[in-house]
Amino acid sequence: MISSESVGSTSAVLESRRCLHCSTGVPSRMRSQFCCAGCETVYKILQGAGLSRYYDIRSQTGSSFRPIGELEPSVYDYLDQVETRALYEKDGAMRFYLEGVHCAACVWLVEKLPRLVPGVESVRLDLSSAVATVRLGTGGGFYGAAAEEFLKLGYRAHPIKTSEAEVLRKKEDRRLLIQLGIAGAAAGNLMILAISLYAGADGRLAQEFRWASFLLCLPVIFYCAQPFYRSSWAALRMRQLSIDVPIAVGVGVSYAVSVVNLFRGDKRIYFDSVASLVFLLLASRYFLRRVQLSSLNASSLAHFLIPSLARLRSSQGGGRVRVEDLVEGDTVEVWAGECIPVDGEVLEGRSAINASLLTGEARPERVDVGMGIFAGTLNLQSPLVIRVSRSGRETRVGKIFESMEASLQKRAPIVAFSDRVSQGFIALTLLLLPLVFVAGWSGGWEEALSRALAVALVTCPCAFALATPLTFAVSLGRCARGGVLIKGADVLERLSRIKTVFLDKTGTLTEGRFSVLTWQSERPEAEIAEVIVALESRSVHPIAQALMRHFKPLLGADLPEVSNFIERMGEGVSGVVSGQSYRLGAADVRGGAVGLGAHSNDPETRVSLWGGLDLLGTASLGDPLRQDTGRAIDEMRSLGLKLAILSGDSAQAVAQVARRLGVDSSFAFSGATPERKKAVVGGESQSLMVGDGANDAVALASAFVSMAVHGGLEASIRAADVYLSRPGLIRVPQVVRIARETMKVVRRNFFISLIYNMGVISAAATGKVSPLFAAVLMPISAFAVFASATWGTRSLREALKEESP
Amino acid sequence: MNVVHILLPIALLLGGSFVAGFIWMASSGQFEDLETPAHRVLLEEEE
Repeated sequence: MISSESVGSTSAVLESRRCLHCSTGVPSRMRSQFCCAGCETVYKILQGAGLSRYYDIRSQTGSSFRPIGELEPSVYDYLDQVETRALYEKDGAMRFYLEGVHCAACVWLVEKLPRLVPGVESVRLDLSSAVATVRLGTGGGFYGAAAEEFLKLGYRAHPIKTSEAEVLRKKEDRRLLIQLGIAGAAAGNLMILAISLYAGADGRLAQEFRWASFLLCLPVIFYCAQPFYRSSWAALRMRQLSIDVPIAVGVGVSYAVSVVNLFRGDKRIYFDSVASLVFLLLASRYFLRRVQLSSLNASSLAHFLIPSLARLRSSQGGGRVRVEDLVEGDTVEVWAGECIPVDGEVLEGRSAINASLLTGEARPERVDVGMGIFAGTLNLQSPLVIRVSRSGRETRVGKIFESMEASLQKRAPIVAFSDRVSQGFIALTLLLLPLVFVAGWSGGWEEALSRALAVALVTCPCAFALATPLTFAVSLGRCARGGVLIKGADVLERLSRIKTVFLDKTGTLTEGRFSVLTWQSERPEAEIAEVIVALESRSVHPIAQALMRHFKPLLGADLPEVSNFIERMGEGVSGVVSGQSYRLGAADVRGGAVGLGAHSNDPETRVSLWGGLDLLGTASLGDPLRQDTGRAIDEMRSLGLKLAILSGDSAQAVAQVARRLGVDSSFAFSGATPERKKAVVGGESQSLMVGDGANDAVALASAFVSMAVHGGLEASIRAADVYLSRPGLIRVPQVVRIARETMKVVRRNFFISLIYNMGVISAAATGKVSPLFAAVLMPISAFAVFASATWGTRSLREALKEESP
Repeated sequence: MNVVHILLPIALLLGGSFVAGFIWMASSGQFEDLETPAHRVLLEEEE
């Protein structure tokens, strides 16, 4: 009995300690039924609204779940301002990119939003792109309320602006799909007819079949193949050669010859070859297009970062006014928890601000009367009155974005490897055709034309036009499923060439927020927890929130009352809990002058709890490294990449991280402003910049390849070529490896196709291959390259698998 | 011989109608989200 109990007890404890929402194990020191506050919130909402069927659906899908964690509160009321609506709303609906969407149960839950938020009429979620379309009812409602509810459910919502370019792109997508469908249908029917012709159909029937082929091929030539004509025309006008030029020439010449032969009664027609070539080329292009991400380009950023309204204080009463209408010398009020809308000088009030937008550093900074303050920083503690010196685009953060936009625009187009090779190849083929024609003249003009035609047909640009996009499409699709969103094929090519990796520290290498690293005390944690939580639940200071995150899960529902609560700026809090007076504050003083969150050189902040005059314990807080940082760094090193850290944080904090990760101190740049980051990154030619914040946005835009990590601000997502949609850095080396492998496959296909082409061209030019045989060979070689591309990328499919949850 | 003259137009008409159907589906955007509807159909409420 006893023995069986002791054996069973561990598993029983584990079993009962599963988070009710996400089913991850709950650490045994916690008393809660949830692993984190986020999970608890979601669970309660779902139970309250009668949506617990979510858990049934989720258990059926069989996918695994991550804890919600603590989602930082966001302010969404700007979504319902007139200007924002004008920008983002389209056809009575607004679209949001939702972070954290991953399975069918999410679809069910997200689309149940109308039940939770009055005024929302319907929500449709596209699972593959994680875009939700929210439609409000005719009675009016608020997008802000919808976005807030998404956040409570564990999905962070980013509104997406539907730009003109995107509407056009969608139209283009549909047209390409229709062209592909028609080309496929025509090619299939043409082949059936062609088979009977090749099999020896004769007489009137054969002639009728040829006419039927002619009719079937009409839409292919005049509608489906349009993209090739259009892009080759565009290329020629720019005095350039693109891969579409020989395709258009080949298709056009074969079709013209076929039509002439049809009228002359000649049996040599190539309608079927033309149609299947067009179909295959369109197919490869369509697949590549589907996996390329341009939706990430389209979003506006100023709204996310700087509030568009400010509280004006004036003799005429004031009230909320638009930031653009403020002039130098105006006075605005900023309450605790609000974002500072302008650059200016503090007139009244003392507070702490979070300047991470500009410095990348999460630690709060103190501000006092007379100090300068910048737009985009967050007021954490108490109201401030600010005299405006600059607003709108004139502010420091506004200028940073302007320069980001500028570097995005002027980024030099990089001639991709595939373009360079195909340019040479195309020029060669186009030169070869007249040469072959002239050389074959001795055998009569018909023989000359036949040879030239055979060459035109047989020179298959398949490796360039077919295999390359396919290979890229497979890799991009694979990455997207692994949570890595890459903007385009050229990004993969650039990624394969990078030599140096610049890593932002705060939020990239580290988690980007305060956490309790250690707790030193002679008393058990649970005993102390009650007092700390009771005291800190009144404070919005980041240190208070970090302590809450650490100690709250140890407690039950009831909190003791606090009386005589006092919060002193920069010193801490005090109060009376259960008849005993406590003080919680900076470790090195007892009511002295050294403040919390003030800049000191120590990267860690210490906070102590006193009961009366006894020291009860000391917590050390800091920004911990992400779990997989060490492993990711090791892997990057094994790929032969040079590593550098680029941070706005203090030298000591950066040096500490660099030491722990083994990064050479001469490659650890500290105290870097956005402007300096840009200079450092731009100075290295083949650099990858990995960052998360708006302070990285300019650096991201000037890097050879840029990557934004999960949880980053919209600004960095927009500036980045690659976006990691799941937390962690381990994807960085994996993506680099995939990029290198992909380019290997691409090069191999080029090589194969070069040999093939040299062989058949010489055969065709000397008249050993008839145009008919060339026409048969063309689709066959296309299929061969197709197979090589799929086979070649096989190993890539495994690359991201190991990490998938 | 004559049967081909009947069958070929019928086959082309039939094929053409499928192509027409496809054009309609593509232009109404039914191929834009290929993943979610497959899940959604299994989630319909029993209310």
